Amino acid sequence: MSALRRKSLLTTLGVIVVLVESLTLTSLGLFYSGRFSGEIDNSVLTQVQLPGALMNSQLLRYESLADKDVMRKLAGEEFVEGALVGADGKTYYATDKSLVGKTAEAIPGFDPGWLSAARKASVLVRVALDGEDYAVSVTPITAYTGGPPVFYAYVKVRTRGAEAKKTKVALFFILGAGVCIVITSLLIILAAKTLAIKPLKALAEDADRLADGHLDAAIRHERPDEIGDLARSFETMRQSIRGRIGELQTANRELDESRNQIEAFINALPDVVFMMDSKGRYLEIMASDPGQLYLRPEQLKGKLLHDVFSRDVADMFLDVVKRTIETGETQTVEYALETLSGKRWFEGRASRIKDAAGAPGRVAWVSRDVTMRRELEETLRQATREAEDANRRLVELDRLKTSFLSSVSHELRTPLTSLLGFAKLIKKNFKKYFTPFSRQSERLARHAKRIVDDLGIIEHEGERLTRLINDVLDLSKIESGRMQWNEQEVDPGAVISRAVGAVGGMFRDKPDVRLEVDVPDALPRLRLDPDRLQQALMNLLNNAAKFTEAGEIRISAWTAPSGVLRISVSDTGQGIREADKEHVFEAFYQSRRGDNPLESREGTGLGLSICRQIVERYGGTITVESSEGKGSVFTIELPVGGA
Amino acid sequence: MKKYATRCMTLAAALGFIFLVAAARAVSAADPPPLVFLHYWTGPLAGGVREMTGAYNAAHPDHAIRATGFEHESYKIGIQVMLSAGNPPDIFSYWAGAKVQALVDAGYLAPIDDLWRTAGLDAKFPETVAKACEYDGRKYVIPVTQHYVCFFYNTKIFHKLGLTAPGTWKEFLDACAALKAAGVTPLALGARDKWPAQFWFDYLLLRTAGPAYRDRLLSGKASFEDPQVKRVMGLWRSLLEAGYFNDAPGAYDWSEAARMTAGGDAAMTLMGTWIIGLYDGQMGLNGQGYGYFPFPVLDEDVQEGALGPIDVIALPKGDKAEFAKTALLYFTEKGPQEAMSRGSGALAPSLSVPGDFYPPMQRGLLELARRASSWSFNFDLATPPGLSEAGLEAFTRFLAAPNEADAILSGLEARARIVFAGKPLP
Repeated sequence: MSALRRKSLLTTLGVIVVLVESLTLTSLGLFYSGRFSGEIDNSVLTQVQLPGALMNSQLLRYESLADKDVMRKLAGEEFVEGALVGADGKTYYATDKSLVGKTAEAIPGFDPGWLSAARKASVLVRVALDGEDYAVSVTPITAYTGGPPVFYAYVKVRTRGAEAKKTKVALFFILGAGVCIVITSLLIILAAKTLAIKPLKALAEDADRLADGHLDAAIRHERPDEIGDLARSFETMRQSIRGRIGELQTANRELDESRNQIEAFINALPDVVFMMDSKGRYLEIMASDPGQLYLRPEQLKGKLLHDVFSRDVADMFLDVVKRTIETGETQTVEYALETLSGKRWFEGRASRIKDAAGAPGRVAWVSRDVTMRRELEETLRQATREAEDANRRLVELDRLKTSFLSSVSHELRTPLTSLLGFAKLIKKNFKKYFTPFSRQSERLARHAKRIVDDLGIIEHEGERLTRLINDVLDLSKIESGRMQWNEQEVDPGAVISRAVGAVGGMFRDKPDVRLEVDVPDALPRLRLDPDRLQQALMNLLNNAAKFTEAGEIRISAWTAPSGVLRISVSDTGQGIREADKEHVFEAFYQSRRGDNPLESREGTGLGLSICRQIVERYGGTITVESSEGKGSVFTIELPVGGA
Repeated sequence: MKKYATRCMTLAAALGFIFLVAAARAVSAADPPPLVFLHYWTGPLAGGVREMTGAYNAAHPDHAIRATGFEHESYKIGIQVMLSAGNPPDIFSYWAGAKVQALVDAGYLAPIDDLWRTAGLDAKFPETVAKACEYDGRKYVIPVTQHYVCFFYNTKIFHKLGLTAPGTWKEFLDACAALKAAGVTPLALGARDKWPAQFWFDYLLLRTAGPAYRDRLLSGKASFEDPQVKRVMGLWRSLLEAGYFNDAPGAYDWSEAARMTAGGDAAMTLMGTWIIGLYDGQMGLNGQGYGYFPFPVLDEDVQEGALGPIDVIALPKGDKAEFAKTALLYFTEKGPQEAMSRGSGALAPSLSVPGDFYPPMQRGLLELARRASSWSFNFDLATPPGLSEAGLEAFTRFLAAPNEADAILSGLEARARIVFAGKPLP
């Protein structure tokens, strides 16, 4: 049935050609038939008026109206009757001789009104008599211009011939049009079949081969016309398809490789990957270890979350799925599931998948067994809690230590001061009263010197102990926050000068060590406790002097490009070992500079720690650069503009 | 400023011109409408009338004449209808004789006795001509041409064949025989318009039965079946049967026959002097190549009467009769008469036109006309309209069927009886 309904281009074309030709020829026919009819009518009317017109021009004699032969030649074969009617109403000549001499009314069918009308202009009428149509003209004939009509030329012709001629013309046209339509339609259809349909069929065959996948067969496109253009387009399309298919095959191979890689990757992963739609239906399941699943992948596929899990769990999962689709953000959720091997913890990560059209509709769900991590985390949390407890205890201990040190130092300093005072008094008195006496005996003198030396040791150690206690107390105060900071606007240059002055004595015993001060006049003013800054600088200078036997110690100050004030103390001493560098600012840590244990014990091990505390108090830093055997550089950076 | 003045002057000039044109139109509007002069001098007969009316219009610019020609044959019936319908032209040409008599009888014409008398026209025209203007004792028309009907022949052919103008019937027949033997049609006749054939009947009758008998016959006092008439038809038939006439005379008009003669296809043609208007005026022969001779003598004892029409101008009754008389009077004068003669080839009726006015040929014709013992009008002008048309018809039929002469004459006689009895025509 559908085959019957299939439309042929040729049939359609044929119908159109026939319709167009019919329409055109009908229009032309109507137009020209009308024109021909008009021409025939005009011809009849012209002919019927011709005798009168000729008579008026004196080119035809009046008696000619009575001569049928002449009238037939002039008015046509349809001539019926002619008469010359005088202005007096009498008939002077007539084809019917019996009418001559009679009045015009005697002429059969003659309307007397025509004569009165013809006095003004020619009368041209169509009349019907006894079922026959006639054209009648009554032409006034004047003797001279402006003169009244002398005669009236009456001519009557039958119009039957004209009508027959019109009918003949119409029939001729209809017949001619029919023949024309048939012949031209056949020619056009034949031409269309040869020039268009056949090539189109050939093109269709080529296209069918193309559709069947025979991409290597070229499409014939030799024609130089539109069909040729179409065929060339097809050929271009074929080449394009072939090229595109090649690209697709390459892309598929790459895709296969990519898929294999992903599968391998997933298989290598301990995770399980699900694809789910927005209703929570499993679309795809990928698992390196199917044992992690409740069901085998092929059983799981197509099932809903609610088919697999309890309502609460399924609801939770579905909520995550929906949130992922709605927000487009990757959702992470941890959950515990009772598995065959007991309760296991999983981390689920859900990510939205957009379809080819960009519509969000699916979710990739990666599920990872995090039971071990959870257990480690639990252990860690436990350890942290314990560490925090220990820390709290340590803080408490530290506080107790500080308090203890503070109180102990106070308690120690008082008797130490007494001891030191009495030791100095003894030494003074001994030197004053017993040394002169001992000079009498070498042995005595030797013992006296030894006593004085011992007293000197007591004095020295006592002072060192005092410094130690002071340092401990200072550090304790700083750390416990009980230090009184006398902060004010200070000129760093002045503070440096005071510090340099305070340690000047140390260089008297070291003639080989030069102290260079490189401080410009204008340094930015700082807001801090000048005594503490001076204390820090003195610590640095003391250390430098202590560990430098020869060379130079230089204290410099300048404003760095970053805007901070830098104060550095450099020496050409023995330097700090690499291993000690990171500990030099720690309390009670003493660098093993040199091998003299006495020297190493001269410090308290708190100076640099106090320095750091002071500098950090004002938002600054203290660093050290040192090269063993070549010297050290301690640099303090203090922000300008107040701490 | 100068530009402005120029513009004003141009405007004034334009306004002045418009005023003058309007005034001129107003003056011309006051002029009487021109006299309508209807005549039959058209085609080959057209010569003369234009010169004559032109001269009048030049002399009378305030009373112009508009001359309108009307085809000769149609004119005959046309003027009848115009008169009977009461729409005649102001003046019109006509043929003296029975035709004018018919109009007088019908009461269409206005008499011009006063004009004739006042202008002393009796002294200006020969008696025969003056008589042709008088009907029932009153003058009705003025003559403008007088045509003499005779033979016109091709002088070259005659000279070539050693022929001379024949004076007797025998000489005429010999000439015809010689011409025919030479392969030249002796006699050219164009009878399509019927009237040219009548001259043969007229002259044969005049030369055999004489003018007196002819007058009796044409006035109904003799019969067309008389032996005199039958003799005429016999003579004519013998010429026809001898093959002296061109074939199918009914297919040609008179001018074609005249051209046949001038061109050498035929040798002679019997025609009125208007043929000179065609030969000299329209063909430019200027009297060369053709000659004339009077109709040969048949019977010695019969007078050599002359034949020909006299064209007159008639005045219908009407409002413009007095005005028209001025024109009629003018047309009797020497100048217009000469102008008409010069153009038409006719003889001027007026005696005031001197003999030396004419070229030698017309001078000879004038002499013939004046010398003639009698002057007769041709058949259709000598018979009442009812008979004239029948006669012309009969002569034409005779040309086509000479052996039916008796029957034709019987028919003509029957018509004559009716016409002269005053009965209505069938």
